[in-house]
Amino acid sequence: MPDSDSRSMTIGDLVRRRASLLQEIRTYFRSEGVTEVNTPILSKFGSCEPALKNLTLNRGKKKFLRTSPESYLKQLLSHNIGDIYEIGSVFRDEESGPLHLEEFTMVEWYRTKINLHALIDDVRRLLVSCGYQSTIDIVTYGELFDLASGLDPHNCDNSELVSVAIDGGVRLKKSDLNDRALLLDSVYVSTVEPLLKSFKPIFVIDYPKEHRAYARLSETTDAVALRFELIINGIEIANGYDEIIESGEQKDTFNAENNLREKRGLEQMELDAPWLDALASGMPAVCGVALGLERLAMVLWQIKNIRDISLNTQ
Amino acid sequence: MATYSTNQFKPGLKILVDGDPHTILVNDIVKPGKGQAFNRIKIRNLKNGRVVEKTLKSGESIEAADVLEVELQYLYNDGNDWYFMDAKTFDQVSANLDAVGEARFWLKGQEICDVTLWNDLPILVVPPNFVVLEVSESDPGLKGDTASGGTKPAVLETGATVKVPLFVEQGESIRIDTRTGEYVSRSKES
Repeated sequence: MPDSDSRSMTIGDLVRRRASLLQEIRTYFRSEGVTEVNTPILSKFGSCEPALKNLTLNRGKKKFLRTSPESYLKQLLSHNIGDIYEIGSVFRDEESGPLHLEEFTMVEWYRTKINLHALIDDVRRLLVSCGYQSTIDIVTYGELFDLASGLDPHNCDNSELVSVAIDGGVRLKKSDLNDRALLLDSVYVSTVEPLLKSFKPIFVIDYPKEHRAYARLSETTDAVALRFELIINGIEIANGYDEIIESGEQKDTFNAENNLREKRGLEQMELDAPWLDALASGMPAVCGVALGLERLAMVLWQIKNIRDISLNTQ
Repeated sequence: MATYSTNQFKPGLKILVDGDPHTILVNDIVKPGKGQAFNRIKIRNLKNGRVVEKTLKSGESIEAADVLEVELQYLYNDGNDWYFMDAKTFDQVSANLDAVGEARFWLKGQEICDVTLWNDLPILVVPPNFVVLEVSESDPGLKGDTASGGTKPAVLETGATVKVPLFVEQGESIRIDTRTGEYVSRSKES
């Protein structure tokens, strides 16, 4: 791989490298028969996910800048048009630091008729076609959590999570003590996350149901969500789901997120009706991945600060 | 009560953690994939210098520590406390032994010190990097005494003991580096 010092990369180099990376991604999808689409960036509906902060526009009526193209892509999928992908900007308010941008480029794609493990292989092939050489193992969330904290994330008591989190220097409020999703995150950031930097690249699978996001739960044990995260050098590169395709189940998930939002003192979000309608109209079984383009470029070009990859020169 | 939200965190910010004032050294945002964002901070306790790591949920607030760093002139010690004065306003504050700490070995009066005030009270006194002090007690050096590495102990007018070269005599003034507590040179100042 070329130089590791980003400051030696001129804007010209950066523009050319980004262009060839995009080309490699498009070539891969073309060879796989996945169709590129461009969906709207503005939406009437913001993301319900409690961990994401929507950026909004207020011109007459409130509009949201998308946090991902998921809603529109799922609406398209319900028309049985086959596999699709989109490359475009997404927005998350107040994200900053060397790994986060408020506006970044998402590569998001959906493959019908495959399972999560086939999707993981799909990601592996995409990375290889972008020039990534290393092998990537699969580890379960439970194995990682146990290794780092000694706890079983699927079965341990909240009180055990609290005590490990506090030992790890996390400040918790009384209202946090029965927020299991938050307690899992607290233990994760204080024990697992520091370990990951020294790990080989991994796909983490089998997330606890509290972190199911929009993934289906396993049919064998519903304590586990059919999701993966790709983590390289301790950095999350991609997130994949065996997607919820039942409208009722998706609605329950949105409602659960709004409940969590209420508990955490966050704004209630209007449910994304077109998304729910699309699922209700009949949706093929589908797995999807969201991959951060700048994060992938950080790995491929060995760059430490995501700002060195963004074309935002301000 | 002033507070800072995590999105205002940056190195140098003074915050109150576990009842003590701390300064932020490093501020990192950590976000597990689909989970809650956290700020992981490395902070130094301004009272004892200890560095610890804390993790807070992003968006939370933490109490600001009313900490001020000022230059004050050392006046005198009354046997209990050390008194300092602001040379502009003539306001005086007293510092206890915890705040003055090692600095007490280097202060005889008049020195301009960096004093950290928390809620208007001194919690840390840093003396000037170099001070000149008189040797009040030291045995005459013996020529050829190399067993002690060419140095001998000397008691200074402030009560501190430092190692000095054999040629330094009682009654002389010497320059001390307060950061290491070591002899630097003889001084022509009296």
